Amino acid sequence: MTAVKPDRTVMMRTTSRNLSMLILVLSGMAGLLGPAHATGKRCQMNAIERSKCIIEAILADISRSYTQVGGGGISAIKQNSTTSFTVSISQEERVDLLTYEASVDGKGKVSVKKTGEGTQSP
Amino acid sequence: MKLGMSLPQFDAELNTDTCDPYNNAELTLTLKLGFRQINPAAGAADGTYHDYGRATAPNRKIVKWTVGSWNLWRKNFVDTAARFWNGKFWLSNNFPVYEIEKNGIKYRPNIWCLFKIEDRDIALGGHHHVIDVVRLHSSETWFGSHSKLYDSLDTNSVQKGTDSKGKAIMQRAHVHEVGHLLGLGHVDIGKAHCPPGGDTNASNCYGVADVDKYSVMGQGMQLRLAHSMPWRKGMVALSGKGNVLTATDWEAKTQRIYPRIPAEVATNAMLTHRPLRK
Repeated sequence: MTAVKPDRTVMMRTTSRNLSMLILVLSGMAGLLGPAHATGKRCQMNAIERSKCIIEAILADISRSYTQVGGGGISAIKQNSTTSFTVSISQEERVDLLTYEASVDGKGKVSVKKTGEGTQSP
Repeated sequence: MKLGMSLPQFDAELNTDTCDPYNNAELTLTLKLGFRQINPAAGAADGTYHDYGRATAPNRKIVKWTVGSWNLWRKNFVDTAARFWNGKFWLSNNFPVYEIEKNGIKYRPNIWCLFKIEDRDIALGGHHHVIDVVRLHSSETWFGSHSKLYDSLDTNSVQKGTDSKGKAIMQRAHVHEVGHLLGLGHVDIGKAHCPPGGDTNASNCYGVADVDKYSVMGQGMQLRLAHSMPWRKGMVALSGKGNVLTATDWEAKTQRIYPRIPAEVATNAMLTHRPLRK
């Protein structure tokens, strides 16, 4: 059911040096994400902050690449494993399932890559 | 002559009484739909209902149908969906059937494709499809529908997608769902990114290229010649002639084509302008 599709990688540099650039990029890509307050320290601080950074990167990618903007919006974000998340988007007749793989390196750089697109039919 | 048959998805009736040197036979497909109210539990005025009718899906606020709102919604659904699909195709008659003679001249009529929805009382039975309908609370803007479960906003035009230039693609969900009830699938079924054996509700099946996204069986409102398939199937069944897999059998046009005399049939002329007849 899940077709693996090569996709872009969203890179979030989270060092303070690049913070202003990150704000600009996230504002342009996501619009609704609000201030991009992620920092390298925050993304490494604990599991909650790390997963927040990953989810923000995933949402930025959805804002940029997902064009079927009708429907009921995001109905679930589920952590499948430490580094894998699936986002459910409600649409007429179906729920789109977007799966991402994420990594956070030692410098707080968050990378996410879409690894699957599937559909759940009613 | 009127020739009818009941198919599992709809009734089909061919009327050749309309034929003359200028007018074609008419093939009417009729969907008998039974609409059934979904109201809040225990007779309450307000309540909730899950998207797709599935208990694990998000809840939306719903309100109880009134007689007036129910009748208005059904009438609007039937009128607008029928108007969208009715009279949009003509099928070229490539078989020597249903011909008439007038003033010593033989005419071969084509087929005008008509469509009706019969809003049939649920108690009567005999429906092709029964559709459940929720009435959304005024605070709700969306509900997860499918071909057998609609909501009160499904007749509205809403943005379904975005084309490659960032332009909004609008659709009225009910005309898309009626396409399904007629047997039509999503626009990109059969392409590599939407194989027929896979999940044909996958997002790619609603169109990847702009031209496909704008199809009514994608994310938009545009008709394509392929959407004449239910009528072509009807003609094959009623006449016993041809095959829908052969493109020239009951070939569809989106323009009126006038009945032909034998010389015009011989050259396979398609008369889109009113010809001079004796």
